[in-house]
Formats: sequence, structure tokens, C-alpha cells
Amino acid sequence: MKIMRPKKVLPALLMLLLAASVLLPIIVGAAATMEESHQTTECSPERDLTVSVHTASSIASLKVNEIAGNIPDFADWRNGNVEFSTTYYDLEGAPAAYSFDVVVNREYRGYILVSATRSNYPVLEFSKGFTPDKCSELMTHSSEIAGTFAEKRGLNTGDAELLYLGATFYYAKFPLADSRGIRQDSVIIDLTAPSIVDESSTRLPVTGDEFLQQQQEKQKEISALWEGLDDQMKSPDPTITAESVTGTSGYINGVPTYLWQLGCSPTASAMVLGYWDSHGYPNFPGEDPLIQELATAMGTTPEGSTWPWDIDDGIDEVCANHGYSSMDSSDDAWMTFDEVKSEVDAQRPFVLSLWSGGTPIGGDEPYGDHSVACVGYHDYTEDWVSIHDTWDTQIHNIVYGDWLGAMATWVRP
Amino acid sequence: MKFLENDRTGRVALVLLLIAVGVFGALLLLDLLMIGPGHPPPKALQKWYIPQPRYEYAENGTFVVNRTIDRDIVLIGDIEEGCPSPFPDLSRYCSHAVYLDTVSGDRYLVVNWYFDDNADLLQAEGDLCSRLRSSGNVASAELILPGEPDRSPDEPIFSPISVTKFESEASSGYFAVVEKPLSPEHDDYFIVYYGVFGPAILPDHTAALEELMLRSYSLRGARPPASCS
Repeated sequence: MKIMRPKKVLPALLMLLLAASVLLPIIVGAAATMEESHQTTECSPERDLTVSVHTASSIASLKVNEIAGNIPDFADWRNGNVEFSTTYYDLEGAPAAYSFDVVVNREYRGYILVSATRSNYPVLEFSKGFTPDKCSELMTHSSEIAGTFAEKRGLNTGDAELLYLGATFYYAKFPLADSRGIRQDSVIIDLTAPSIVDESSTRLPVTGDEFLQQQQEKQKEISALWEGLDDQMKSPDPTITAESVTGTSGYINGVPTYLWQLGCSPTASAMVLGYWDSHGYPNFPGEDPLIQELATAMGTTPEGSTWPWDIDDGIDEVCANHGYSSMDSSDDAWMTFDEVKSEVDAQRPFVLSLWSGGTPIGGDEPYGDHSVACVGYHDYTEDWVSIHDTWDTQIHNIVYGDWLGAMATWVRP
Repeated sequence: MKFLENDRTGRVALVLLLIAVGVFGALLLLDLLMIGPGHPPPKALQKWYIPQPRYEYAENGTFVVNRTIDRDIVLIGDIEEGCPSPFPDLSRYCSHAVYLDTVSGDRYLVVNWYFDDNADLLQAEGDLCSRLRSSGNVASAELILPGEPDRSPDEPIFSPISVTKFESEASSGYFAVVEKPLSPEHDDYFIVYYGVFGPAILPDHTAALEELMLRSYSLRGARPPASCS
């Protein structure tokens, strides 16, 4: 069994505390109701947070160009038009999101989902695919399930209201009425895997001071994003081209893209050392042996998991093995976006380890607990970090802060 | 007195219970702190053995896609989901890509089927081999890859891999099965095909196909589809 060195105890405890502060509310989060969150904001001055379809349409146009200019897979969205498609609602029946079709040369190229309320991030999703409600098979199957449910209760189903309760959570809410047409109940169907869902399970557990504090922090971030967008929308031509909205970016070329082997932390670390191998430190071995050596040095488990405080030790050990004892790597569980920018500007890629990492921009799979190699940033209305994620050879972007916790492992010669 | 004694016992029991809860909680938190494994999702694994383009930043911060896989071989279009004709849909996780030799004009095809269950793999191998036999010639073959591009100098030369050779009017190439290549602890299985489009003399294209194999994920430990041998 590996014994933790004394110098590692403090960082480990700090990380434990960090994890406790973010994870405990979730672990103990019994299902409290949304009313609690409303109570906390009762004293706030009333403000209409609704976003009109017109405003959302302008935002969608703006973002489509921004996306086309920055994500290679979406380059064909350049000069695309947006056409309003659907309004989605929340559980209380208030508009939650608007979807717009992205159309280029009269051809459907995907969709972008814009929040219908300023209490959520402006752009919620975008994809080259279709929203589940556009799939007739899924909709038919959902109607059948709702119909069967209603029939067993001697009721009839009415027209469904489409719900959007967060990334990939698309539902249809069918009203259930008696033979006189009087509404008696409703049933919610999950559109992605048509099945009946329990309404209480669709509500977020909101409890605990830390969680509420996190929500408040998130709300500040969301407000800042909307304010940034307001400034952009005041431009005489809101359909700003990609070139004029690029903000500041930083990037590092020459970081290899390695696919997952033995674990994400050794693979991500190998990409960082692979960069240094071609930038003045040529003694490192090739991809496979380097990942193997790092996995051993970090004590990565056979399943591929690594203790976070062993990542920097493993990198240091491998550097020393190849004659680079001066190379120093260190963990930083309190990194800031400014630090990310300065590290990228200094052309030093680093390992970014995420706890409950979110979904990359344009992706459909959240990262969860995952290490990636950070190779760039975009300082726009939204802050993004650019990464090599070990799942393919593309450069992906993830919104800065779209995780429960994160730790940087700086690698500095 | 007896009451106090009971009270003391109760307190001890309470302290012990709190310690147990604390230890359990700490262990749970420590487990949650581990990073990884970050295993790729099936959507990524269905492209795993297909040589992918490289992405770089251009001067203005946008991306440049470098589709050159090796010297004269370039990726045409994108890596597509689904199986191309005449290959069967052995798995719902299937992708393929087409490459062009810019000098000879030959077009190459790489197909990747992914399975997360060994039983599904065995079933697919049987289906594949019966389909191959009905549409072309099937034989065993051995390929000796010249060495992985990034291997260290002291690493042994890549050992030969056994594959199934397939020749037909539509396409000719090599099939291989790779089991658990990412980690012995994780159920990942692949059937991969590296071939040339149209009727062709396969040995003339083996070098190009081997280059494509070298530019994909490691084929170490690959074997021919069971039912084909």
C-alpha cells in the first residue's frame, strides 16, 4: 500500500475539504423543493428575467457565427441563419428555452438552444443533430406511453407541452383530462428514452448553505454573461461576424493528441510531456512507453483511476528518470481563469483534472471525473478552456467552471 | 448509579458510532476524490481505430484541420458514423472513413465496429465471417508492421499480427479483432477493417494499409475473427 508523504498531507486535506464542500450537499441533498430557492430570493428586487423570442433569435445569430469561427466541426455554420423552431417550458409552465434551426443555404445544419430566462446560461446547447421532439418515432412512442397511462385511469391525453430541464433533459408533459374535458392530472414522459418519469425526480435537490452559495456564485457568472451579451447586442449590427467577436484567445500548438491508455491522468500528463519532448527536452520516450511509465509512477489503478495528489509526483518522477530533475510540476486546487491564461500565454500546457466535469461545447457526453491536457483559452462573453480530452484528436472547449471541482497540475521547466 | 452507568455506555456507543460514521464518510470522500478512469464513451470508441486528422490553431486563433495521415495519404471528408456497403451493421457503434493516396489515386477504407460485451463480439464475428464467405474469398494472413512511429529505441520490434484477408470485387483488405486494448479491466472489443476500394491486387496495397494501421490505436494482440480462421 502506498503511504502518503507528510508534505502531501496538507494539499490532500485541502482537496478533501474542497471536495467535501462541493460534494456533501449532493450526498446529503434530500429532495427539497424549488420553493426553498424562491424563498431565498424573496428579498431581492423583482426583475423581469424573461427573454423574448426576438432577443433570443439575435443571440442565436451571434453565437452561431462565434461557434463557426472557433470550433472546427462547426465551421460549416459560418454565415448560417437561424429560424425559430420551438419553445420549451419548465415544470411551472414558464418558458425555459427557445430552439432555433441553423440553416445554411436553405439546408438544415443543426440547432441552437437559447435560454428563455436570464436566470440560466444564455446558450444552453447546440448540435448538428436534432432535438428529441423532432424525432417522430420518439414523439409517437411517448404519446403511446402517455395514452396507455391515461387509459388505465379512465382519462384522455391532451396536447403535450415540451419541457427542457437542463442539458439533454427533454420531456413532454401530457395533460390528462376526464371525459368532460376537465383536466385532472398530467404525466411527464422522458423523450430521450421514452418512459414515464416521476415529477419529483425531475426537480433539483436544493439544500445546504454551500449549495446555495454555489448557486449564488453561478448566478453572478450568469448575470455577467448576460450583461456581456447586452453590450454586444447594442452593436448596430447584431449579426456580428466571427472575426469581430473572437475576444482574446491563447493557444499552444504542438501538444500531441494521445488517445486514452491505462488512465486519463497518465494519458493527459503524457501529452504535456510529449509537448516538452519536442520543445527542448527530447529524452522522453514515445507515446506508449511514456504513458506506461507515468501510470506506474502515479500509481494509477488497473481500472485507470489516479489519486490527484500523485499526478505531480508521477510527472516529477518520470522527468527525473529522463534527466530533467529541474522540471517542476505542482498541483493547484485553487486555480483561476487568469492563471490558466497566463500559463497558456507562457506556452506551458498543463494537466487539468475535473471532478464532475460538464459537457464540452458541442459535445453530448459529460466528462465526469477526468483529466485532460489544457492547450488554450478563449476569453469571450463566456470563458472557455481548450483541451485535448484523450477521447479523440480534436481540440475541445469547455466552459470555465463547468465542473464541481478542478485541479491544475502545472508543469514548468 | 445504574442510570449513570447506562448513560456512560450510551455515550461511549455514541462516540464509537460517530467515529465509524466519520471513517466511513472519509473513505467515501477519498474514493470520490480519485480522478478517472475517464474512460472514453462508446461514441468515441466507435472511431477508435480510425486514423484521425490532427487539429492545430491558426494564427488568428481558429482551427486548422490537417487531414494528411501519412505522406501521401489523406482523409477524405469526415469520419462517418455507420457501416458502409457492403459491410454489415455488426454493432450499433460503427464508423468508417475513406482515405486517398494522392499519388496513385487509390482509395482506402477503414471500418471500426465497437462492442462492450464479449458475447456480442462473438456473435458479430460469426455473422461477419459467414457474410464475408458469401461475398468474397477469405484466408488467414500475417502482417508485420514495421514498428510504431513513437516507440522507444529499446522497445522490441512490433510482433506480427494475425489477421483475416478478404478479397472481393467491392473491396479487399484485412480484418482484425482487438480485445480490451485500453485496459484489461474494461470490456472493450473491436473489429477493424483496413481495405482498398474496388477490385485490387491486395499485396500491392498492403504497405499503404499497414501505414494506416500504424497511424491508428495500437493493434498489439490483435487476432483474426474467430469464425473466419
